[in-house]
Amino acid sequence: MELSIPAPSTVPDETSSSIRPEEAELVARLQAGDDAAFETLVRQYGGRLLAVARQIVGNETDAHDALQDGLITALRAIDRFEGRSKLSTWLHRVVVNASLMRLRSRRRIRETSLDELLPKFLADGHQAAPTPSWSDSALALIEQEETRAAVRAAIDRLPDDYRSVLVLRDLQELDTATVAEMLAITPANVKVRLHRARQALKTLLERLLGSPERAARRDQP
Amino acid sequence: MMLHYTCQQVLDYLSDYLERSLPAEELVRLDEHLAVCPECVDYLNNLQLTLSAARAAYGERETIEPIPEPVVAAILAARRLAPPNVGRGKNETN
Repeated sequence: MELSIPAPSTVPDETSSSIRPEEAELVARLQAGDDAAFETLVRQYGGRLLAVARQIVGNETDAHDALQDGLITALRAIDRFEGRSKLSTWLHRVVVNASLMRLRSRRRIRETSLDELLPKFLADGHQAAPTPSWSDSALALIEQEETRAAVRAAIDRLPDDYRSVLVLRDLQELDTATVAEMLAITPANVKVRLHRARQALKTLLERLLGSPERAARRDQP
Repeated sequence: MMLHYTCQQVLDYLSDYLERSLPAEELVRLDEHLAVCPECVDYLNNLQLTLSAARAAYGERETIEPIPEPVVAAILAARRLAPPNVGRGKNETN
């Protein structure tokens, strides 16, 4: 399956500045087939791009493969890079596309059914179960590495279609129209998936960030 | 007071509410509901904390870790196996 390459016109122009001189030189060397330039590209941009791939695919092995696919694809398409956006922005888009392709090509086995994680309602529209207030210390908790690891694991449990939207919108901070284009869905669909993904993640984090004391008080007759 | 929105409708709109992308009329209806429904306020607060937790979970990591050497080696090896015209001049991939 061929990876899609962001056309120059669709690359988000996140800054009004043109390509930096050192990037232009690297691109020229890549276009000339300089092997050392490719290694420079891999080392210079690989760490950040690997983090992006890891967020989308949810595991290390697939992230390595997605990064490799993306960088080889970028090299194949380097002649189309015209310097209208930053090289890092263009590479980001290529690796995101490669990561999404990897998601589509595999079957996930650990993901959680989304319906189980969405709120339930009574016939009159009220919540079927009360929402517990989270711990007063939740804000401090989320900065701890142990909690951060648990949150990453929870994000990994979301179904691919929902996790990818959450990662692209909330973590990569791409806008709705860009995400819709990347995923080949409508902007309205992006918004629906994003909201459900956030709700599902909230449910997955209840045990981690919920307050047992408050829950106990609430459960008392 | 008769509320325009049920809890179910309010919860459906909370992402738009957080992103301030609701039309003024719907914003008023949501605020009207939230003013008298502590459970929906709790839900809204927890949803905000969820977003903060997701961002904190990945916040520093991506800028700290360099690409592991085995991954570099694998990518360079894959490059050597790629077709010989990769990155070898204009118009070859267009």
